[in-house]
Amino acid sequence: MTKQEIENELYELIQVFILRRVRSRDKAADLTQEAFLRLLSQVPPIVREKIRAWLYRTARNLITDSYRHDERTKTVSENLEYLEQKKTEPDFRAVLESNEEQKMILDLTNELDDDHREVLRLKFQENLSYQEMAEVLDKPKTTIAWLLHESILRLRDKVKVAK
Amino acid sequence: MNDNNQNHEKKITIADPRLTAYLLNELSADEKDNLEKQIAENSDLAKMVADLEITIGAIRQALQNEPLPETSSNESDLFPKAVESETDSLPVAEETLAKRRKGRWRFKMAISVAVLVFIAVTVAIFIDSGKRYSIDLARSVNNDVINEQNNEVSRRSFYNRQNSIDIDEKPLEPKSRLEVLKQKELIGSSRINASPTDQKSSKSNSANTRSEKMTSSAPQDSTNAQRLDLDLNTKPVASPPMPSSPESSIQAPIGENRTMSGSPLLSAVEPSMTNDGGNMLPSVLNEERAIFRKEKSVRESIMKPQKKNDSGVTAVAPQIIVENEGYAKIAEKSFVTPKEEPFSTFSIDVDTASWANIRRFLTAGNRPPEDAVKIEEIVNYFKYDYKAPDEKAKDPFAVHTETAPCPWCADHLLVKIGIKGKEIKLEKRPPLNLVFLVDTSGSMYSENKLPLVKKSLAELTEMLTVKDRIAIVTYGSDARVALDSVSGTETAHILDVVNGLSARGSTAGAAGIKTAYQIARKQFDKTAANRVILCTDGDFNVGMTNNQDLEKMIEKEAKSGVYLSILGFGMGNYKDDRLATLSNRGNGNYGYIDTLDEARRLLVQNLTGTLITIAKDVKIQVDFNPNRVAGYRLLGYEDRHLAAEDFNNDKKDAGEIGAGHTVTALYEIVPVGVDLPGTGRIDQSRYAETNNSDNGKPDAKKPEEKKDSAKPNSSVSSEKLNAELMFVKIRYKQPDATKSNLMTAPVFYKKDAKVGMSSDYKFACATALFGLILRDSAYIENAGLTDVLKLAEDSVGNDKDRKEFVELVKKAIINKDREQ
Repeated sequence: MTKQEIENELYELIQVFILRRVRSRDKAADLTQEAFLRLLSQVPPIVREKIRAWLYRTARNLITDSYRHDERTKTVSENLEYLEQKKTEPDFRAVLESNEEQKMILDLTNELDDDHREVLRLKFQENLSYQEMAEVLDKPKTTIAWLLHESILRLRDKVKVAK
Repeated sequence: MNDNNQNHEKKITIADPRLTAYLLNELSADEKDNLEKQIAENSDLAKMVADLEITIGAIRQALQNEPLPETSSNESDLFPKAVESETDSLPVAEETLAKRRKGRWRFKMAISVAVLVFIAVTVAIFIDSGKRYSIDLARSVNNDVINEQNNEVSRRSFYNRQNSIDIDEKPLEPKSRLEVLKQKELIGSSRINASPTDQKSSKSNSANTRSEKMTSSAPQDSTNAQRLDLDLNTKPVASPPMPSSPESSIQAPIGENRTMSGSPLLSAVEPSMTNDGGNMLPSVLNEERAIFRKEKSVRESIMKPQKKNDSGVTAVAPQIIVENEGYAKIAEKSFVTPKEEPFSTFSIDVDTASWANIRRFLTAGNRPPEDAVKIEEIVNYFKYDYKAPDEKAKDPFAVHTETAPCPWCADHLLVKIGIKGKEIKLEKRPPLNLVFLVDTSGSMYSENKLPLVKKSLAELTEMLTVKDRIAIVTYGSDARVALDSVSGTETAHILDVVNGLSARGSTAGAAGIKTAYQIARKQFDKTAANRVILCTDGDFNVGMTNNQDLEKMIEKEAKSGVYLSILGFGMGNYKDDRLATLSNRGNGNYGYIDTLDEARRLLVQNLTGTLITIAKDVKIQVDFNPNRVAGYRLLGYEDRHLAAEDFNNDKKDAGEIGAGHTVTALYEIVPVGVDLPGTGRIDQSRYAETNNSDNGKPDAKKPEEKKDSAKPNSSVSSEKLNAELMFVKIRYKQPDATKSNLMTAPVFYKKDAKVGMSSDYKFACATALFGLILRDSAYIENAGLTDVLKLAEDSVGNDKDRKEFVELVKKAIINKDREQ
C-alpha cells in the first residue's frame, strides 16, 4: 500500500474519531482536514509506519486545542449525554443498540477517567496497536498495557455490579 | 533460570496485564508460548482468560457499535456542508479554507494532464510554501486507487447515520471529503456545463460527482464490486432488477442463470431499507456474488452436464462441492483391552443430522466425505422397536441389550445397547415456548434453505395449540423480531410472517441469538419446553467475534432453562461441526433438513421427541469383564467420548434424550481366546505372562475387587459375576434436576447359545456397517456393501425410512460398480 493509499484509508477513520469527540460535523471535517494538511507539511515526512499513530495524536491535539479556543463547544462527556438522549430514537439498528449490556458498557466506559477511557476507545474503536497507542498518548507501552488491562477489569467489575 | 522464571510466573493473577495483551495478540512469540503453557497447566488461569476474553468481546462490540453523534438540526450533513461551504457565507476560518480550495481549483484547471500533475506535485512540494496543493494534486491522480482503497467498514457505518438524517437527498457515495472536493474540482474543469438544473449548487455538485464517477470508472480497471456499488447508488434503491448494462461484467460468464437468480434476490430487498441503501445493497450484492461464484464452481466441476432444460441452463447441480463444508475430523477408535481401559464412557447422542446429510450425497450419486459420516448418527436416525418404560416407571427410559456374533467378523461379538425414552402422547405434551431464530442472510437464498425453512415453519404452525407460544427472530444484516411471541392459535398471523421472510444481507448471528433468548426468557414458563430453534446454513460471519463467546452464551442460557435446537439447511456452506457443537452447548439437538419430508419428520411426527427433553446429561459407562473380553471397540460416538471419572461427575455435561427417542450404541467385542486385530504380530512382553494366565484361567477375585469400588454389587456371587460379559451403567438427570440417577444392567452371553438376531439388531448392524464402509474403516476387511444390503433387507419391515436406506445402499452398490 502506498503512503497515499494509507492516508486515504485513514481519512475517514480520523474523521469519525474526531467526530466521536467533538459535537459538530463541520468541526470534525475541519479538524480532519487540518490534521492531514499538517501531515503533508511535515519535514521530513512522517514514515509510513508511523502515519497512523501520528494522525491520531495530531487529531487529539487538535481537538484539545479547539476546546481551549472554543468555550462554547461542549466537553466529550457532555456530548455523550447528548448521545444518550439521541439513542432513544428509533433506528434501523435499534435491536442492536437496545441491547442493555452494550449500553451499559458504553455508559460505564464514559465513567472511567480520561486515560482509561481513551485506551479503550483507541483499542476497540480505532484498532490501534499497543505501540501506536503509546505514541498517540505519549506514554510507555507498558503503561498502555496496564491501563488497558485495568480498564477492562474495571468495566468487567462494574458490569457485574450493575447486573 | 528458566525454571525459576516459570515458577515465578505461575503466580500469575488476574491483575496481570499480559492476559489482556495475550488476548489482543500483543505478546511476543516467546511470551505467548510461555503464557499458553501456563494456561494449559492451570485451569483457574484458563478460566480467567476465558472470562476476560468474553469481557473483551463485549466491550469491543459495545464500543464498535457506539452510535456516531447525530448532527443537530441547525447543522447540515458533513459532506453536503463541505460542499456548500464553498459558496455560502462562512465563518472566517471556513472562508479562508474555501479560498484555498478555490486556489487549488484554478490551479488544477491550468494543468489537466496527469503527467504534468506529477511534475507540479514535485515542484509544489519544493517551491510552494502552501503544501496544500500537493495533497490535492497527488490525490486527483490517484483518484481511482482511492475509490478502491477506502475503508469500507467505517465508510458504511458513517453513511448509515448520514442517510438516516437527510432523507430528501439521495444517498451520497462513500467518499472522503478530500475526494469529494477533488471530484468536484475535476468536474469543474471538464463537466460543469453538464450539471443538472438543480438550483442548489451543493446538490448539483454532488449529483455531478456521482455521474462523473460512473462514467469515469467504467473504462478503467476498477473492480466489478465497485462498479456495481456505484451503479446502484445512483439509482432509486428499491428498484428491483439489476441494470443489465454491459459494464457489469460479472454477468457475462454466468449468463441466464445469473439473471434468473439475480432479480428476485434484489427484489427481496425491502423498501424500508432504502435509507440504509448505501450499506445494504453492497452486502446483498456480495452475498449474491458469492452465490454466483458457487453456482459457477458447481457448474464448472461437472464434467458432463447431465440435464439441460429448454433454455440450455443446467438443471439442479448433481455434483456436490464439499470444500465449503466444515466437518470436524473423526479419528476411528481402535480395539482396546479391558486391562488398558476397564471402562468405556461416553455421552449419548440423539442427533441424526449425519444421515440426512449422507443421504444428500448418496442421492446425488456421490460418496460423502469420510468425516461427514458419523456412525452413531446413522444408527440413531432409524426407529427401533424397543419397549418404552411404563408411564409410572421411576426412570424415564428403558435399557435393552442384545448380543450376537458380529455380522462382519464371526469371531467377534457385537453388543447392542438400546435406550428407549418414555413416550409422551401429543395431547399430554407440555406447552411449548418456541423462538425460531431464522437466518435470513443472503446465503440462505437457495431453494433448499430459506424456502424450505418457511415450509417447515408452516408445517409446525399447524401443530401448535392455544397453550403454545411462538416467536420468530430473523437475522441477516441485522437482527429483527419478525414476530413477537404470540399464541399458537394465531395461525394466520404466524403464516403471514413466515411467508414474508426473505433472504438478504450478511449474517449477524450473534445479535439474533441474543434477541431470541431475550424473547424466550420473557415468555419463560417453568412447565413448558422453552427452546430457541436456530434455522441456518451455519454461516455466521458478522457479530460476536468467535465461537467461544457464542458457546459460552448458549451454555449459560441452557442452564437457565432455555435450550437450543439447531436445524441445518441447505448444501454448500454447511458447517456441520460448528452447528453440532453449538447445539450440544445449548442442551439441544441438531437436525439436518434437506427435504420437506425431513422437516415433517423432525417437527411434526417427532415434535415431542425433538422439543421435549425427558432426561439430560445422559452418560453411559460400560465395565468390561477382562475374563471374557480380550478387547472392545465402541462404534461411533468418537466425539462423545468421556473420561472414566466424568461418569460420576454431575457437573460434567452430556447428551439429552427426548420423549420417545431411541439411542443405540454398538460395541464390537473380541472374546478372550481370539487375537486382537492388529496385535497378532507383536511380541508379548516377557513380563505380561502372569497377567496372561489370568486371561486363560478365570480369576474371580480381581474383577470383584474392581466392581466393588465402582458398584454396590459385591453381593453378587463370583460365579455369576464371571458369567457377565460386561456391565452397563447409565447416569441421567431429570430435566430440572442437578443430581444424577443411576441405572445398571449386566450383559450375559453364552457362547453356544443359539439365539437369532432380532430385526432391530440386524438393522442397527446394517446401518453401522454402512457407516464403517463409508468411513473406510480399518476393521471391516471381510465385509462389503452387499453384506449391508443383506442385513438391511432382512430387517426392513414396513418402515419408510428403512426402505429408503435399502434403496440408497443399492444405489451405492451400483455407483461403486460403475466406478470399477
